[in-house]
Amino acid sequence: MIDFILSIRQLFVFIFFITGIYFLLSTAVGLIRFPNLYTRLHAGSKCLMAGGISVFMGCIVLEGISFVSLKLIVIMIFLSITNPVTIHVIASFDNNYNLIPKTYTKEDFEK
Amino acid sequence: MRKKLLTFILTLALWFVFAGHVSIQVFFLGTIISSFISLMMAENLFRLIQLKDGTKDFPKKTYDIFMVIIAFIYDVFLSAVKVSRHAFEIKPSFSPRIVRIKTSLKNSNSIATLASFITFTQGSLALDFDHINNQYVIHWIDVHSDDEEERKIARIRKHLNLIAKIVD
Repeated sequence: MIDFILSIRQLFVFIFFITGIYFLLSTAVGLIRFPNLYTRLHAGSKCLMAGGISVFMGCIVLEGISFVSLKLIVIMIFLSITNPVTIHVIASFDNNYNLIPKTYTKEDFEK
Repeated sequence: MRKKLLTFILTLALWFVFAGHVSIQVFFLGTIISSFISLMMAENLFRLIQLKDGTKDFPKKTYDIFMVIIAFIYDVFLSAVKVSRHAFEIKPSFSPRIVRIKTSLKNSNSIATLASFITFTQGSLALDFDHINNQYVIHWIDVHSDDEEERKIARIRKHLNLIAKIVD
């Protein structure tokens, strides 16, 4: 019975980690491949957050009920607060002040 | 006094969580630091909390807060799937659009919370907030038609109502 619970736990850990790796990889790919700043910010906000939540959840399931899990939950809350704020600040600076230097993409070179 | 005591207890609890273990040394150091924080920052901390009807009906609002958290996580994953699909397309195609949405929210806390929600809703990003007209400036990553835009705005309005129940 204990082996069965452990294997179920391992299965959940693997599912969470694989999901997290997929989203984090898609963040990196999106940041490189997307055509302009705003679309890149989309990748940097949503996929990063989903990847972060998945990896943290995997770690929490792996760790069980302990102080480490509590720390991970606190870090997850901090991430969910800070990530949209930073993304909004970057977008707002670009929208209002044009302070962010333009990153050249493939479309610019084709023009 | 109640505010200071509550801040002290919360910061001490956070201190224990980050310390990772409970011992007499950790307790003493945590007590000193938490008492400093509660003496200096208690008033400012509670000034920032703007829950609707104060903290009186907080237990009743637990269900709403739970619903907001569930909606938040669901939206994060749904939108992440859509964006990641674009990332792995051979030729990623977008039809971006910038729209303005008027809001009835008044508190700065609720406006900030909804901005975070908009950033995580399907394919939208809160660019700016116009304080004069109470409007969000939103960037959509992929909107093909006006109907789709309406549907997405309706979804944001749903979040708006949820947040208005708790914070505004």
